[in-house]
Amino acid sequence: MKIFFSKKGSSDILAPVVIFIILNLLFFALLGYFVFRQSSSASLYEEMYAKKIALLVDNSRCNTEIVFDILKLKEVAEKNNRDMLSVFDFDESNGEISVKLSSRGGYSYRSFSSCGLELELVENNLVLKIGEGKDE
Amino acid sequence: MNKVGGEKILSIWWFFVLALVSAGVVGGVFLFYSFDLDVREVESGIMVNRVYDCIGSNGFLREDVFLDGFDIYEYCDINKELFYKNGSEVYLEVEVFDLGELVFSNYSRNNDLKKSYDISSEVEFKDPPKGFLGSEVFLYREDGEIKNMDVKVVFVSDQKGESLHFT
Repeated sequence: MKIFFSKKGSSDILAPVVIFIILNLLFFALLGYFVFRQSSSASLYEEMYAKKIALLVDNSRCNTEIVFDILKLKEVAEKNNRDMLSVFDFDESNGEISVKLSSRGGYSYRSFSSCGLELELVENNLVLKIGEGKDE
Repeated sequence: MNKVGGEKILSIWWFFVLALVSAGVVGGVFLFYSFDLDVREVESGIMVNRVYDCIGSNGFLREDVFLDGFDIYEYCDINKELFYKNGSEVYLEVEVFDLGELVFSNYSRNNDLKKSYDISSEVEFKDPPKGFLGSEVFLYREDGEIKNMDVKVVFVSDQKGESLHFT
């Protein structure tokens, strides 16, 4: 910091130091904001939730209902102006579970269960209604 | 040394440090978040347990396994098409042994996946498929006699998911 001290008056000394500190704070704040934006990016949550749902379905027997908390996902969807009703999709023909949190794209992952699946939104939860499958 | 010159050198140096720090942070963040969440091994374990859960009951192997036309996919509510289509990303193998003799077997289509999985334990190569090999002993009642059956289930997955892009 020695560089900012001169033999001039004290007010002349203070101004560059304050500017220097403000610029540094601004730089690190921007860097922090970038890291925060990346950590809450839609693509990360799309992949995470598609895989979670697929694994939950694979790990469940037919005729099961699972209530799944999606509060964080809802926040990301709202940030991207995405209607929650169009976030989840299940393609029964190939077992593909899709999560779309932005208008640009989404992520899909396959479940191997043939029980069938219905997805229903209830407040901050997603209800996974796993179908009947074969006759017991 | 000239004082003004020294200040200039230090401010250039300071900008260089800031650029270096930001490049490091940005690079690190991109590298961290670009990695896939690999769940193939967990998925394989789940599917192996699913098969054990449906062919066994209270430690006994269900008799249905030895019926003519027994379809393990239908019986365990597994989507058979995904295992038999071209370029399938998954492989399932079920073998039942009675005193070392193979009495039931079912192998899905993509045997190459199983070979890659087997090789990956000996030879290192980039991004091999992940799998889970289960081996359990079940009891089986036949002609009033209870015997042990070894049931081997292998599930191999190379499913990586798909990013969807809308135009």
